[in-house]
Amino acid sequence: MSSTPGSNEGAAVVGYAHSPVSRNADVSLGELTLRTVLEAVADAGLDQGDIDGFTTGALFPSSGGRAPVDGEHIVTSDWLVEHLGIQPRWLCGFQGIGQICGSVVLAANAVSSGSADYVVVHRAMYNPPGRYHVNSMTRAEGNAQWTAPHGFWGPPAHIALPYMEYMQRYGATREEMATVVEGARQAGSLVPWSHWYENPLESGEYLGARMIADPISVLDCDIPITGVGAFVLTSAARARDLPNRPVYVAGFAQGRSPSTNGVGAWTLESIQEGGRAVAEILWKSCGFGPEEVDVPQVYDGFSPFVYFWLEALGFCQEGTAHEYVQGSDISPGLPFRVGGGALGNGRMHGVPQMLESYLQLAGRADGRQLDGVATAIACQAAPNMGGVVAYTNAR
Amino acid sequence: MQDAFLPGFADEVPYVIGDIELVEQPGLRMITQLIGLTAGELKVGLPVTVRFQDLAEGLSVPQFGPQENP
Repeated sequence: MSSTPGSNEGAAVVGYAHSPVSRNADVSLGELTLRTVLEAVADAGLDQGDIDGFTTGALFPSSGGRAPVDGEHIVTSDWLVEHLGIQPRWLCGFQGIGQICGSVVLAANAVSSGSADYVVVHRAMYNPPGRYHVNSMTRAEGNAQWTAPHGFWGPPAHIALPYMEYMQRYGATREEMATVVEGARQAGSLVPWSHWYENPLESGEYLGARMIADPISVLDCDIPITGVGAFVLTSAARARDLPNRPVYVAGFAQGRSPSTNGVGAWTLESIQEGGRAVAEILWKSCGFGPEEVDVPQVYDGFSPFVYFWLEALGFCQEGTAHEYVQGSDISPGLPFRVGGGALGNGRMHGVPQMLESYLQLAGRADGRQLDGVATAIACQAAPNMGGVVAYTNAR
Repeated sequence: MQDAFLPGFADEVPYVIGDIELVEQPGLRMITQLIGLTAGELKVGLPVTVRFQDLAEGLSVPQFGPQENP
């Protein structure tokens, strides 16, 4: 995309909305999504009738063995258009990890190719009653037959193994990670729609947090919430006629783990190897490098992902992120977590990273606004299997 | 693991999960429980040997623990 600077080609984000979030919503997820999408369309200066394309990645990330119901636990684009009463020209679902990034890529390609003029990308997240990842299975099949009988289940266990290896290999400590988590919560405390708005961590709270899968504590995980983020994308040419400053999609990359231990469990090597591949694709795609990123929004749904992304994308050397995040240039509130991320907002699966990238580059971040920012990256999930999108406000 | 996500493990916590690579086949890795090791002994690269635990009639799982008489 960077190969055509100054052209009318390419895609731009032109509007957004974020719902209120809650642990126990008093409206259905479907209704919350309808409200939020209509708000985003209005924010872009458009009418519902202008929207002719829809996409989302609707994955319900709980491994609790539930069967999600569309409109209640997930909201697909199909459900959305049915309830908006729209017959779109283009509708597409993203299937994979890094849902918001993958959806943005689909939407950007749709408006660039002319498949649609104005596309709504939404992400609806639901917090189920009960515990998020507890599963009552009595039979383990597929890959789970190799792991569940040993008591290995759910994302916290998956993350704990490579993070433990990282800590031992590079000498990282939980005291160092406290800087990351406290920084995210400090930044999130300034975000009005955050679950943690006006609620930063107390000193010492992180190190005293309940362990789930050592070294992953409850505070190393983003808190499950119900909420919806929605964005409107259009072509760079159409974006010029709309009220908000366009934020252009500059490039992207999608991770696909080149290796695991054979049963779907992650290894540190697979995260690092997959991350290097993603970084190479991203920087070629967007035409700039890590040193030119003004608003790096790395993903932090589990805290070690911050290290994995910073190292994979070349913000620091492999094995040094735990030291890098202590540096004065990355102190709380400064660019790499200015939006609060997942730890500072709640489990919105990449929405906080994308939204802060958009708001900063559109000049709409209010009290958090950074001066003179032109480039951002928004990551989701782990670098070996998630996605990352680069944005710019310059053409 | 300090938390039980699956039925039957509530009485087991805390228990230790390891990612094991077989010396007999480098690159073959498996997820198992590690037994008979204290937290201070757990290190990446620690040699361990297999043993089998009967969970139910007709169902045994491999577990790994310290090498005996190394």
